[in-house]
Amino acid sequence: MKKKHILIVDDDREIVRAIAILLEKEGYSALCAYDGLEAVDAAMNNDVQLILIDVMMPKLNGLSAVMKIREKRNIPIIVLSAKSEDTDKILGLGMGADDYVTKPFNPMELVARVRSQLRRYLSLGDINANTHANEILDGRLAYNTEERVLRADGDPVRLTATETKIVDLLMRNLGRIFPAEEIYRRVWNEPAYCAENTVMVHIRRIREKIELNPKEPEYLKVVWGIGYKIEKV
Amino acid sequence: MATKLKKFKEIFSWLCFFISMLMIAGILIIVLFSGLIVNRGNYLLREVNDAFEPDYQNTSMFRQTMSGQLGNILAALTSETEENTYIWEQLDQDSGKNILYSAGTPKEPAEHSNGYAALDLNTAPLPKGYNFKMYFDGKKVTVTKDGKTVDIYGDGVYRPGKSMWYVPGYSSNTGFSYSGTDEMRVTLLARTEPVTPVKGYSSLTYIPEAQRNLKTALYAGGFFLVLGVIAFAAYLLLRRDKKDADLALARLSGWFWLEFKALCTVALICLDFTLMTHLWSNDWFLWGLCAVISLFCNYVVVNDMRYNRSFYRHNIFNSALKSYRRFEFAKPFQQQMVQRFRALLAAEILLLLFGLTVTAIVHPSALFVLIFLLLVLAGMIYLIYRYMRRFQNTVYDMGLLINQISLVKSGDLMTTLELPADADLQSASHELNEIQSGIGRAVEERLKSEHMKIELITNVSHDLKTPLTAIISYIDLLKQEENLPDHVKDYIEILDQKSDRLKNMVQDIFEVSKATSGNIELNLEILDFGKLILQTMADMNEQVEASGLVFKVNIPDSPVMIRADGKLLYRVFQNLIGNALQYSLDGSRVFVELRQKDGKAAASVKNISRFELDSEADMTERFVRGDSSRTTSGSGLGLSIAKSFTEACGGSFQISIDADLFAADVAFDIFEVKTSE
Repeated sequence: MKKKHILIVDDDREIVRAIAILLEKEGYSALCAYDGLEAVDAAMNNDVQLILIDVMMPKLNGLSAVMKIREKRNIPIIVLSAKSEDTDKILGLGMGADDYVTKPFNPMELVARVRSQLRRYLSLGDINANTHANEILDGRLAYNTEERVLRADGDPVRLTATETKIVDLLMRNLGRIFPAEEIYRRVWNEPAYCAENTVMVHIRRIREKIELNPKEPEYLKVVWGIGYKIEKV
Repeated sequence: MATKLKKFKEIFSWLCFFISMLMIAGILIIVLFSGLIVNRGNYLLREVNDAFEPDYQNTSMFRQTMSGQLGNILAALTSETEENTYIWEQLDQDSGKNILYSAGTPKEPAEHSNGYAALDLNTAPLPKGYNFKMYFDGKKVTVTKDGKTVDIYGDGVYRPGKSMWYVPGYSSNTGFSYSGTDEMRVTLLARTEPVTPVKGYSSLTYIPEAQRNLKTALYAGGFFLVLGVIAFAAYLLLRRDKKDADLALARLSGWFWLEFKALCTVALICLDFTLMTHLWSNDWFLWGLCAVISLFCNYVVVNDMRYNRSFYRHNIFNSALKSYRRFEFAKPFQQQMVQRFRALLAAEILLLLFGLTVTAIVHPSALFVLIFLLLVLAGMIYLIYRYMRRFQNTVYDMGLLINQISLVKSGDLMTTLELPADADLQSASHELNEIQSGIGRAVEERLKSEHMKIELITNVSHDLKTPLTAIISYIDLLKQEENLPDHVKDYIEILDQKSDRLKNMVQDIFEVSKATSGNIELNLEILDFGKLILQTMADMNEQVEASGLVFKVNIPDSPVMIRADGKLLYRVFQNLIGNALQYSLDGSRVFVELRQKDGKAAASVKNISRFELDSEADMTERFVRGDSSRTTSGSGLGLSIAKSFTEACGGSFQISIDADLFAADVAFDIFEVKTSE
């Protein structure tokens, strides 16, 4: 299979090199750029499948570079930034980035995100096109209500029976917040007893199977003081 | 030097103005009072002609004199009264014989003469020294001068004023109504140059003298007119300096009290009146001086009224009031008020006593007493009115001051209170304004420093995160390296752990700094406090179970709703429970409780410390930890984060230490749900 090219942009050359080595180990080929202008240049002139780009860079700001690249290319772009505020994330995603990773990042998580983005860009496009009637799509996740199978980035996730029931409940009601007691009642069909602990244990396990970084979940979230939900992306 | 010149220019321009005004006033007075224009149109012209006529015989004065003499002689000839005989005496008393005459009938030619041959009435040659002859032939007058006949009225019609020949024989000369003059013959001779008589009086010698006087007067008048015009022109050129001079004059005159000025004016009017009535004599100098002084004083008063706004207000009463206020101002406000009331009472009593004393001593009439007492009463009422008005203003200002205080309290730091400079509370309002601006400055400085702090934190955090990213990335690469000796793998493991901790610390520092400076993004929502604690416990279940500690959880079944940011509050309890897990004595119990009291929901986490706690240390200070050795993991920011996050959400956070018992209390106001589910 043809190697996928990934453009890595950061003004810190050591970080670029580390990421390049990391990705090459995973079987990708890396292209490097060290400022916004170079990034735009490289993205336009090479067959690049994904871009990792820093925000604070000389010559051309990362977000401006993203906007320029977006005018011509529809490839996945992951923004790497030391700015961890929610507003920064919202701004970055609004400018056309597909994902926002805050520095310092976990290298394994970064690799997982790259893989996820690439898979959705390259292969899932077809699957998305042939959506089944009984399939619920939510970002990386796809849940088939008939088969009761949850796929993350196209791969089926192996869930236990209880986990499947919880996922079924939450996926069918995307964005709705369920208190632990309700989840317990509907999944176990019993009056709630020590619901919080029991539900949380399962939630954590599901997270480990579907989330790229289980410590900072993107889909299966706790709404503190209220309940649980799967975020509608 | 410049100021000296300026001063000179000011005085000069003012003098120019004043002189030109004097000239204009003088000319106006002369024109109005002499009737120069109204009465006799060509009078001035004739006077000027006379003054500059080299031959005295060509002056109108000469003509009038000769005509007059002829008239007199004719009168004396026609009726011999005592009065008329005097005419001859008068004519004869001139020892210089400036006029020679002979008068009579053809029968008695020289009935009257002063040495001139009567027979030669008309035909005799003129004696030496005489060149002028006037001859009356009974009907008409003919005049010859130097042997030539002078044309009197060519057309034979008399016109008053014209050439001033006032002689018989011309129609419409109604002045001559002598009858029986047909037989009369009169000859009058005049000298070429009049001779001053040694004895007696000559009406002709007076003429050159009058000419000289007239000339002098005309020259003087012309000089003053020209002076006036030049002065006026100079004033026009320097009118700006003159205005400055006016201002200086106004400053000077403004210094005097109104009463003084009024007194001076009255005195001046009296003086002028006296002069006009009693001294209408020929003392021109005194009269002119008084006129100048009057004009000057009038000018000063008008100038004063024009430039001094306080012309009427600057009087003895107001000055007394002002000096009293100065005396009063040195005292504190409350004493001022009392003092003022006392001063009013004293003034009223003094006025009353004065009135009574004056009426007791001087009582010319009942009417005077009545009027005087009414005046005193009016003065007393006026004093009370002034006092009341002042008091009213002060009360009004108090209201303004109170409003201003509440305005400042509510946070308005821009609107200032400006009371008039003489208000009793002026200094208080001024001080309040200063306090206000002081607060404004402090707030502004604090905002600025907060802003700088945030910027610093953001920058530092970014600068720390970038190298940390590289470190973590390379450690990860190292970790993937195969065929490494075991001890190297150990080292890498330690690097991994420590870099992870460093990463957490950097994040924590960033967050706590933001929270303490109030720059955290808040997402407040209504949530169940109990459930949040349970969720946090559940989330940390693995660590809790691994710790071997016993958690005693006491949370009510019914929801306890509060308003907070769930994520932040989760971090609070995550830190509190984490703290308990880390520092509790092995095998001891941790109490997690939630109680409701007085509309407050208070959660507490209590544990027994493994280390001896320093009850003096503030655990919520950044980087303060129970163990000073700092061997344990954690950033030392846990409690600090918990405190600042709680406070950011609007709750209260408290740490209490009793021997080894460590207790953290987090309290929020209970949110009243209006419609229960």
